[in-house]
Amino acid sequence: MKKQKTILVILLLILGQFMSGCQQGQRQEASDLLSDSFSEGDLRLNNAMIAEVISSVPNPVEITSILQKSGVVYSQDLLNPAGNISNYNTNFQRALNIGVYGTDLIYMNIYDRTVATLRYLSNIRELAGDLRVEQFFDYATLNRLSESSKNVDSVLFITNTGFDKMSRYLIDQGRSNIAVLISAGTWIESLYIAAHAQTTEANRETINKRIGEQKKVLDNLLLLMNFYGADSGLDELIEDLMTVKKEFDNVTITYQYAEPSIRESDGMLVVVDNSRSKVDISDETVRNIANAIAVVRNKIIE
Amino acid sequence: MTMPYLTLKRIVKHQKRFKMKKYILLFSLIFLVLSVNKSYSQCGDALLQICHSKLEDARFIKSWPIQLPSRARGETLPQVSFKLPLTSGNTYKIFACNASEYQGKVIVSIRNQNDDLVVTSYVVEQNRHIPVILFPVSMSGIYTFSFYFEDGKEGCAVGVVSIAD
Repeated sequence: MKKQKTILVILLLILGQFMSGCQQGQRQEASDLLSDSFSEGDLRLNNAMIAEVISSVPNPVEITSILQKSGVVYSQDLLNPAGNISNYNTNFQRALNIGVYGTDLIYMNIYDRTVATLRYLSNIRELAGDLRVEQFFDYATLNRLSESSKNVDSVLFITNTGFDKMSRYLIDQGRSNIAVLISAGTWIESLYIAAHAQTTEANRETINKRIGEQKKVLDNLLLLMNFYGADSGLDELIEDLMTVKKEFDNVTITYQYAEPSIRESDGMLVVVDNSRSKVDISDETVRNIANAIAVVRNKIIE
Repeated sequence: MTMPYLTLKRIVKHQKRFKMKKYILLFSLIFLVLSVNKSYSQCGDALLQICHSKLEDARFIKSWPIQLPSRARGETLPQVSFKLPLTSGNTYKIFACNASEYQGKVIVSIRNQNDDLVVTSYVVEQNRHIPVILFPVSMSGIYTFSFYFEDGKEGCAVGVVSIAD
């Protein structure tokens, strides 16, 4: 009888453990409060709305792929030095810099600098751990895959799905301020890299246009950040980004919509996009944007 | 005099033992069912892992899990939409994978920021699904990706957007 009771207790414990494993994250974060005088403000935003604005920030793969395809050379000097991690002691800094290091990681992978990514991976792990969201990255697999440049696609897959899940989780758990900061850090670093990349006569126009298109992304990001109230700790960052916005005000984007044509090739549907966007941006404006974003970026990574 | 008491005690003991066995069996069954669901359900992360192989050399950008109920009588077709920025100069490889345990076959349609339909993965005239869409973008902007299941059937799928080399 005693033996059977013991078995029953063990079974109940296993079942309990199993159930709690499924909901561990939810329980863990239910009591999560940021200790950095960093609150969401009085205004409650709809989660779907926050997720949508965060999704409107381009993935760093987008701009980095354009840089690589355009023949822009890789520059390690553009990255946030891995050793800077010791400076990040607040959740505000950690969230921004997880976005910065994430972008650097993608930049390195696109340019096949996979072995150099290990320290950046380790930094992301540490910052994610501090923010209690480390469960979304399979670091063991990432470390193994990073040993060869043949695995870039898989590394990008794991990294991007990890960031995606982390963002969704943070929003669901009422920690969307952290998700917004990660997204802002990602965007700031992407723009910094694009604006400071060594372009040539042949690829300058393409890169400049892609930089000009970031005007709309910044507008969306600022709109979202402004929702978080005066005591959110975002004020200074918003103010800094407003100086970048001032430079973007000199960019004009016009759209010309036309019906696409479609053809089928090798079982795939190939869209011929006949719509066009025209980006008017001068070299001087690009230089000013580059300088303005450098001020913001250097402030957050120092 | 002690005999009847012992017999009763034995009967009670047997009943208790029987009840305990029932509980153990019940909890074992619950645990087994939960384990099986967790390991073998194709809908969700497991489906994304399967779908990953379809990427080939493309660079993964985004995925969305899609799970929709069947269309109720008199109701509109259940669908879900997501917005994503696409950049001019990149060619996007867009595809979706269906979970085999559901009947529904997913259809993806893409609209530009003017809400004009750019492409859909289902050719109505031929009643045919196109497995992959290649989209060389000429106009940077926010595009809307809508997903629904053919004939409003219940379904589970994952939609993937990647950049083709």
